[in-house]
Amino acid sequence: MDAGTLALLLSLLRLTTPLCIAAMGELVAERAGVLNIGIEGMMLVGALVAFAVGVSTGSGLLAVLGGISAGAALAALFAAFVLWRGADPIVCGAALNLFALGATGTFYRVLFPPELGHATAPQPGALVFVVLTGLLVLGVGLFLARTRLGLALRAVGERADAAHAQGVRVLRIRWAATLFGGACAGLAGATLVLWIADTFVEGMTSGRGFIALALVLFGGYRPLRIVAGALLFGAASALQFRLQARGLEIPYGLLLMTPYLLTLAVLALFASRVRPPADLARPFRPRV
Amino acid sequence: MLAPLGAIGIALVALGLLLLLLGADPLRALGALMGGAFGDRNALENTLLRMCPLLLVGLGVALAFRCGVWNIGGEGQLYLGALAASALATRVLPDAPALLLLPLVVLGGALAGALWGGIAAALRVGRGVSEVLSTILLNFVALLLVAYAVHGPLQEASGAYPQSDLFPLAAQLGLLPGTGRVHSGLVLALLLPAALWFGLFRTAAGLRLRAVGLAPEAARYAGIRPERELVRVLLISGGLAGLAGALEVSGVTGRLFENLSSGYGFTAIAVALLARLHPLGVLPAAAFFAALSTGSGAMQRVAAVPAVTVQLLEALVILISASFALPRRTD
Amino acid sequence: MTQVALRNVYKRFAATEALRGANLELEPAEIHALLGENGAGKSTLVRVLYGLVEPDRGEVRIDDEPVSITSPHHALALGIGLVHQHFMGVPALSVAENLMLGQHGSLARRHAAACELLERYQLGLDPDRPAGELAVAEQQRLEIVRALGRDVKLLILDEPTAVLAPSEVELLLAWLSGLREEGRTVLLISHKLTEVSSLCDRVTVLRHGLNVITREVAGLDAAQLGRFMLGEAPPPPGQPPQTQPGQVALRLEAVRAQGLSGIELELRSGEILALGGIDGNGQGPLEQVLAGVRTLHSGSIELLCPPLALLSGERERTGLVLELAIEENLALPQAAHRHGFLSPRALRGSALDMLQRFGIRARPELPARVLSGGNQQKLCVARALCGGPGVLVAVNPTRGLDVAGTALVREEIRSLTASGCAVLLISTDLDEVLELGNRIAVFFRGALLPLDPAHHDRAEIGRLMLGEGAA
Repeated sequence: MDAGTLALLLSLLRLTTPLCIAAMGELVAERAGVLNIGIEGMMLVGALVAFAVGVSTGSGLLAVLGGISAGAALAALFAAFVLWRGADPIVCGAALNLFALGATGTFYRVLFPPELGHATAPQPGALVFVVLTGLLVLGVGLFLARTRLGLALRAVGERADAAHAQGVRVLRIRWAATLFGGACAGLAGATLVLWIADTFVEGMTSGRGFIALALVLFGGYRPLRIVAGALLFGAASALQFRLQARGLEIPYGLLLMTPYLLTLAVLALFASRVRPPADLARPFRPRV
Repeated sequence: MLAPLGAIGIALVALGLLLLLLGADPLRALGALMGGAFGDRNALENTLLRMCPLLLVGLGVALAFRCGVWNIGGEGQLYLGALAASALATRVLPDAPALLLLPLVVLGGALAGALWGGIAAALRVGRGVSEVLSTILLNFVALLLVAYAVHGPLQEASGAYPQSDLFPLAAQLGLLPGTGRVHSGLVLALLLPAALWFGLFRTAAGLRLRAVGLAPEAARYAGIRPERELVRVLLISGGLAGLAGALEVSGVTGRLFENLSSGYGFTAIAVALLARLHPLGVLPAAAFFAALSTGSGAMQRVAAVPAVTVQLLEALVILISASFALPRRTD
Repeated sequence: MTQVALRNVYKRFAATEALRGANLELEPAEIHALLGENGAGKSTLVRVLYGLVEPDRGEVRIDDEPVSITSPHHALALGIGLVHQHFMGVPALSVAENLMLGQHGSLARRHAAACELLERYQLGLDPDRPAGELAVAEQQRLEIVRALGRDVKLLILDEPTAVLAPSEVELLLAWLSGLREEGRTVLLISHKLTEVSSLCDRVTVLRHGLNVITREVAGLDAAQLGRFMLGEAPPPPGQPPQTQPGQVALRLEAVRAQGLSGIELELRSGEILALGGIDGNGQGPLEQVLAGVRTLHSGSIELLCPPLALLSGERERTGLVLELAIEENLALPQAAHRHGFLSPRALRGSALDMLQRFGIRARPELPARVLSGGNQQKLCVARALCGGPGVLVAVNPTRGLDVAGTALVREEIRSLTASGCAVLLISTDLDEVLELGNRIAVFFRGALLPLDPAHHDRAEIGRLMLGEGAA
């Protein structure tokens, strides 16, 4: 493989990997019936915490664990309100995104004021994250299709009251799925500061969480198709930079819209053909 | 009525505890906040100015949520309204007769916001795309459009900064008599809650909207077409946000630039929820969040509490409000 | 487990008290019947035993130890199983996966057990087929077999025979006898008195959330049981109204849609055309087509005497907007087509009139959810009738109503015809079809089989329901 192709491949993987990781987590959550639009915020806090831990300890491993924990912690807050108090998941997800944006911005400025100079996070290397992603995709796929818990989880997402009537512990499964989704989002955020870039920038997720949400839908709620979708998306985004480099007469400002317009186009084409889990985002009451 | 006060109360207590944990004095912080929001004439005017867009976008969000439509795109619709207003005022119509210019600019902004909401509506009705995702994605696009415009086609003649030309005087909103900076658009905004309350609860159209939000299938069987109501409410909701954007550029800033809105579109969601989606409740809720916003700067200066805690408070208010049943679907 | 007892159980849902100190005592190795008319509290009582309902007051005792059953998981662990009234499976999962849910052991072992279960009870279902594709009766059989497959000591069945054919009912009763022989207990909820007397050892009758009596079945006849259920002799069945049919008010020609294979009917003013049949043979699709919710593939629908009022079959989902006020619910059909203001006084006034006429005692400004199920149904009827319709399509209009409510609604429908309205009645209740229909046809596989007017009886309808005599 020559240097040029390798560079291309790496570029594609950079664009694709965080999306894949976040999408896998959200896939598990949604298959369990939990719609979490707050993964954007969870990704952002994951990025900041991974950055802070990485800079202060110098350890890539601790940074990754920090990112995962931060995402899971925010997901726990989400689960507390949505699963315990029955609050609407869209509203809560939006609130958490709002909070994450503000909180990360401020804590970043407090912890890393410009006077301290430019801090960089440890870079464990591309291979680590690519392998991690591959294992994640494989694991999620096998889990959903071939395990007892996976069966129970799918039942919960399709019809929670029926699963409940058969003795399945609906709330426990939804809690676990939500935490897993948040952890994955946090991991995706960590990859942003530990590989894609080497530092934290406010708002650096730039909507990746929402694109991941769209990818779950586009992939028909199946892991491999989601990965294919993410790759296509990555390729299209890479193309955007190529076009710019070729000096095509599209202003840079407009080219930046490509990911979002592309996502909208993909949704427009595929949203009506996909059937989400029947009980997605619907309230569940175990006992009246 | 109890629920909103309860939500604020709980959120404040939680915030107070957090502040104690951080070593700050909660009472001092609260005092600084209040002072910053209402302490002097300047502060009060600031609060009123921030209340205007929160009120308008909040009304739109409340209407949409009541119809079962998750319009998270208030921010983008606001920006698009500002963009259209600026384009009209500085490039397309600057030489229009003075009497017409301002109304056209404001109207243009509202229509642009409505259009932006309409795109999400078309995607939902025509292609089955969830408006949650589409409105959020359109937010990003709108922000980028504004960035592109102020670096390019709409950039001021001198080319010094990424901002539009200053609006011609005829396109700027007049000030309310007796105030230093409060624009007359606020009057329009203050009239809307009552008007929308009437529309929601005393007209057939309002009953249809509420029915669709509460039980779309039952509404359908009664002869109502949920798709129509959905499109209508997104147009209105977007239009209100676009109006807010137009008022911001012609009444507050006088020109277009990036970061014009300090997250009004998102805070408006908190406003709508705190108001329990009731048009009359949006007024005090918008005032509350406006006060928080203006007070937070003072809180940071005087009590050394970072302004982000206000966003934390906002999020807590949303989360807690959402835990109390809202007038929405209960299936 | 030898004894299960529910003592002094109270439960209130919003405005209605479902249980007011009900008691139930079960002995080992018995088949116990729980009887009562709609709304008596039978389902609520057994759902307490299954951990789906939390009683406000009262206690549950198993082997004389008080226990609080907090979830179906808990109930199953205690050895209690429940066959729900309606299919409680996951439509998107396969038949086998549904049977595997909540079981123990590896997936492979569960799958083998599921297939063995299907064999043992001769269900004849493809284990890999999505459960949502099954017919209603097949789903119900799956529901029953699933419960039989669990090693339960107490099996509760909530009206299991509603959608089963007579031969299937016999099979079920035989299985239940077998359980009794194994020393297990069976609690059978029913309102079919014949099943009760042929199979059960003891019976408990509930009325308005309280027991009326508990005793051996032996020696009781259907009439006595009926009296216990109602507190008085049941009213004699009504007769279809005597009217002169007028002009054609509604005509359907060669109507094809998803679930309808060719519907032909002509409905005349002043008559009641009753469409019976086993649930799932086209009733839902026809309702949706007439409501304008399902698209026609071909054929035509002519409404010659507007307006058409629809009394839909599922009041919770398609009938009322429970969070809106009662008066607003009544105004909904007009609001659908009008542009204009709603005068609160006019709204209130017409609502009060309607409420009084139908004997619904509630303030019109309250949300519809405060009404009991029966009153909600009456509200739907009121709304359908109040516009002075030319054609009324009534789908299962008395579902869930008690005897008094049922009589009221049927009387209202009869009197509609006197004023020239045409009524299309779609009902899965055979008695209702016979009681109200001037003309009768039967749904079978998406088409209508007309009934010979000389043979308006159960036997003949039964034949048509099974497709015998289809062209």
